Amino acid sequence: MVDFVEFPVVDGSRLMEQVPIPKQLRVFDGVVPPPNHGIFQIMNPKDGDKRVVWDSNSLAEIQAAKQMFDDLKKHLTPYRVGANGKASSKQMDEFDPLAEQVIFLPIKMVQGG
Amino acid sequence: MKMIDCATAVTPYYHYKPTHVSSCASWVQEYDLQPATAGYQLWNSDGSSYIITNKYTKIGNYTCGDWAEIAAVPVPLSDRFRQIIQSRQCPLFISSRTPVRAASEERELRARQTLRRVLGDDGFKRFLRNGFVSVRSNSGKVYQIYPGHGMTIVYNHGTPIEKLCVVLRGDFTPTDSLLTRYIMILHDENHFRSYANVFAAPIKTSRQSIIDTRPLPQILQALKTAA
Repeated sequence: MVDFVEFPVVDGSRLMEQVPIPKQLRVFDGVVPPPNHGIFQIMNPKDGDKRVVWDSNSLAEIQAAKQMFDDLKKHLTPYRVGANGKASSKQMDEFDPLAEQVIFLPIKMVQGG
Repeated sequence: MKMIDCATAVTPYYHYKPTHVSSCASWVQEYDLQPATAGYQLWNSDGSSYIITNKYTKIGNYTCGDWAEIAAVPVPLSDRFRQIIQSRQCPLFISSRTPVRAASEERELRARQTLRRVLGDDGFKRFLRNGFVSVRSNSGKVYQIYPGHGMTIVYNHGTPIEKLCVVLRGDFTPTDSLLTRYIMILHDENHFRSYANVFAAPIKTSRQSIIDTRPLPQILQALKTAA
């Protein structure tokens, strides 16, 4: 069964965009990923955030993570974020297998109030 | 902005008790209600929003519709004077900080886990205690970010200079909204500001200005005159 990440396309509509999670990657319920693993945290209204981890020692998982990164980047904005209070944030143009934590934000849904 | 000093106002001193918080507006404006001397009201009315605050007003969010729901209850002079005496018997603590409430919703819990990882344990504890997250941008300004649709207050050298209203549309949790703004400011504050509706900075009431240092007989005389 293929798992998806869902996020809204237009505010006020139930229209949801779906991006499949490659079978090489796994959904993670914890907070801190295992050693030598990277984590995607994909912000969405359904789950709060969906967490997907990949093993940075596995070429197959890195390729799958890159594919997912590229798919998500069409709709969401990826930020490489410092973890454990190391305040930093850098928008990512390309997938970096060394990135420890990547948060995908729905910047399109941001507006002035 | 209109300020009324109840000691000189025509109407006797009242305290206002919100009986209903309306949700009729799609937006909720969050204000830092100012601690005020007893018998002093602060009004702010800009169309559908307003603040009513005095010593007895519950701190909260007020939106359109609340005005009609606020009941005025007169406070007897003796009670009023007793409160003044009581207020002088302990150190004056002023705080507009509201600790974060416990969450039960799974999505919100997950969002807070993520925020904790980003802020670190110490930063997250401060968020729980204060109800907001502060982040210093590259320009040196400090942004005070509140969960949900709360205004982002900008400080320059400790002085509030403006309020920015930036929201995350859609059914996102309050902490997700905070986290989004936190990361945006950390990355590029100018990009964040390009989305913002800018409002004037909240008025900061100094501690000294809200302490009534007059002798008690003089205060009693003034209250009697006003009544």
